[in-house]
Amino acid sequence: MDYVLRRLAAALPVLFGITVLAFLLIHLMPGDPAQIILFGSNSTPEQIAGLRQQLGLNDSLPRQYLDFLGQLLHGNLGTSYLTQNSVAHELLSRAPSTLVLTFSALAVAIVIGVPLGLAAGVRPNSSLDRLCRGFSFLGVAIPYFFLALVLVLFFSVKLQWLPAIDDGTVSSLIIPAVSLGWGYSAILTRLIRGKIIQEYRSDYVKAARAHGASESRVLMRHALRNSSIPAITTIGLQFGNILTGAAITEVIFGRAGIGSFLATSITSKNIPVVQGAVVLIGGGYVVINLIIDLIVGAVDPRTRLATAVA
Amino acid sequence: MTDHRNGDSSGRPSEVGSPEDAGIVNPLFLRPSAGQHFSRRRMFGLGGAVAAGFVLSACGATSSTASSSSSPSAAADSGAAAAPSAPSAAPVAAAAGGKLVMGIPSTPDTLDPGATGLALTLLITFALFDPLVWWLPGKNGGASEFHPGLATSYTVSADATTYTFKLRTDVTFHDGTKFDAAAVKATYDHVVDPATKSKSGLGALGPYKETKIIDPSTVEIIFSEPNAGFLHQQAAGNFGIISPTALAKYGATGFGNHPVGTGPFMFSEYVSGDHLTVLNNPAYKWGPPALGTGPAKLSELTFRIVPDDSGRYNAMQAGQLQIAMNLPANDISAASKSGKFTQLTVPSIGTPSGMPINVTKFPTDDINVRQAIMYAVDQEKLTKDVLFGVDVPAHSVLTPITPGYSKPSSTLYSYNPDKANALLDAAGWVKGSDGVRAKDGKKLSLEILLFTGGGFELPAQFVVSQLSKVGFTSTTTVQPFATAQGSFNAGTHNLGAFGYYGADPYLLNIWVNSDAIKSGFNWSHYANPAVDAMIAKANATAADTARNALYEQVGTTLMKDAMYLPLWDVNGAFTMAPTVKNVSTTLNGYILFHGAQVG
Repeated sequence: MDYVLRRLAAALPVLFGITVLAFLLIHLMPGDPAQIILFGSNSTPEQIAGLRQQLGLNDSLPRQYLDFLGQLLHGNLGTSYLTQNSVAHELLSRAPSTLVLTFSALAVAIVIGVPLGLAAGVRPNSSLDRLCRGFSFLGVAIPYFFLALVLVLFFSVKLQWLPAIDDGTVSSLIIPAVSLGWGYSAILTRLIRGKIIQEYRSDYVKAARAHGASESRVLMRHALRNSSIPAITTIGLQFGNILTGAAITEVIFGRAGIGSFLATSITSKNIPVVQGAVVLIGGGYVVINLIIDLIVGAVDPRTRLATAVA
Repeated sequence: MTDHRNGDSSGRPSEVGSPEDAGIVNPLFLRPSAGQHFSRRRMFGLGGAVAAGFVLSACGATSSTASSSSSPSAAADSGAAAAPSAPSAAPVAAAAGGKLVMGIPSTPDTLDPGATGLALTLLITFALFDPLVWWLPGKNGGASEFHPGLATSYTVSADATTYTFKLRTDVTFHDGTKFDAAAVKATYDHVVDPATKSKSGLGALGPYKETKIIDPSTVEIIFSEPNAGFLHQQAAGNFGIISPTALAKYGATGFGNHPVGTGPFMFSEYVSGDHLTVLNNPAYKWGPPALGTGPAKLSELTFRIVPDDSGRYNAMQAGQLQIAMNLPANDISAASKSGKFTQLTVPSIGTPSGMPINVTKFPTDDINVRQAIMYAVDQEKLTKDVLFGVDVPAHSVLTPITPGYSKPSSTLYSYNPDKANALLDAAGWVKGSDGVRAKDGKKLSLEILLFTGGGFELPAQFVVSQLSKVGFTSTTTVQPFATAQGSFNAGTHNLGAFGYYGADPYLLNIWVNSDAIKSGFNWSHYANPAVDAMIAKANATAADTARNALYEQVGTTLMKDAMYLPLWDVNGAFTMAPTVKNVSTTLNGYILFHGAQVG
């Protein structure tokens, strides 16, 4: 419990930082926000001044930040400049799409990466291992957006087996999830392979074998369990990357998720949406890492102690 | 690759977006971004009106027996028939045309035509709403014509301040509300209601005073000043008549999520940023015969938002879309060559894309230098080599389908580097050993300023290379739109980037009028009181011929003064599966689905 509280306490400053950055976005942008909002409406200086007042842009920065934070805590992320709809509503309505894509990609990464890593690690330098190493080399080397386009050209345009853009069906999720998860499966393969090889050389594996434990028991009970901790940590760290990748992937496949929403909102200077998305994605990243920390703590009690000592 | 028509991904000040897709409304068309933006215009006219008055009912669609079949002769009957009691046979006709999915490049800002700031929204709302009077491209490239819409006839007062419409009496909204004069009043009052936060509609409406209900089937729309451009404006899409019941129910901004009109399709579902679906309106029988008769043929029409250009083309090839809007020029070229798709390019109204030439900054303050620029650039080669032949070369300040287009002005200059050299020689610019001209120790150097996402990067490179052949040197800067706008107003550039969608030539008012220099779109810093006066006079002139003659005169003057380098006329580009048939076109470079079929 103590460990949980410590992890929570460590997450708070990060969350604070995220809100500060999101808040400052509006001030880091070139140009007066009021003019950006009113742009194109032939606004008078009075209108601009009025809007500045309304937006609180005349208050001191700390005061503005506290207002922003207060609104945020009430779940109010402001109004989209483009649609005049609530940003929180627009973001949340797109969140499921992004989560589905992210977790599908993660699933692809795990389903491909873990077995390949095990297979390669158990018999290093076998032909299977060489195949896996070649795969992971390619997986890391090929950018996901390039892979996405290649897969679309082959499976959608040429063979017409799978949809090229999102149409709400599961089949339209396949290419995005595979292209996004592929690279991470390669990372996982490399990581688990290396870790298994290392574990197989360790004394406790030798001891287990000397006890007469079966190979599968040695692998599943001992080596895999000890390899899983860095793997879980890596998955957690990659989650943020996958989220970022999801943004590009969403744009490529016309998926209405948070990432593509953020991308179009940045180009159109729809600041409230950008702020909201930054808070949401940053917050999501923190939460996932917190969960990963807790999982690692549960899998490996040493982690809890180590943190306590530190 | 960067292209002038992609919807959003390239950081355009749109919306999108645009585009996007899409965004802060960029009033200035910004045409390059696929005409998705459009303008909010200031309207002010001077006095001095000439008389005119029209009756529209002569326009062909008088009456016909209300046939219950889908016979093509069952035209829109002009108001005489009784209200429809049963849309009986209509659904049969509707089922025949199938379902159509169209890929669009960015997210609409709202589905309320009166509130929107994105021209793309009008593509959608034209399926949901009818204007009082349609204004459509002429058949076989002929002159554009007015057609009866929800009004059977109209008259315009001699001073162009009062427009009287006689309304159909057999029209119902999708929600069952009966269409009458009160709905017209509600629509126009809604646009000027501050709560609506209307972007382009408010500007397009001009000096609106009020809508007077004379009787349930007669309204007067009254302006406080002459507003001769109104007939064009009311047909341009912002003023589709909305259901007063729905407006009261959902409120001024809520209506944008629950659009209810009288159009051939009824709103069904919108998933923000993803897709929008509209369904056949079986009761529809008041569309103009020019667009097809009776209800729409399609049972369902879906607009799928695909901001990524190649995503739209891939989806076309995968068979997910039947129409892809505004593909990049290279994909359009590839699609045409593949032979698998048909290509529809729809000329658009307003100004061509081009470069404002700053007439106050050295060295373009010299008319000889400006005219040399006009002769040095080959628009034909530009559109062929850089724009893959999708757009057409532009040679004047308005596009040819825009009323008031001056044909003589388009032949003032043609590509002639020798003439450009001769003009510069005569003006005392001497070529140095590096090929760059100089005079009094100063180089013939141009500052070119572009804005992000305007689609001018490649065309501007082409212009630079052409200008360098006659002795210019130049530096190109690209700024985000808001910053660039400030720079354009300050006049730090010699050449800028511009393009503007507008239904009426009165748009000249916002980009060549002398009072639009410091804060508007007069990025040429062109100040000519004679031109100002002619534009004002034109907008106070109700008679078409007299008005157009004034605008033509303005166009010729502007081209003589070489204050704008026209480059290309933007075409709305629609790549279609061969199964798609009978889409109609609009004057703003878009398409209509009244008669469309798939299969």
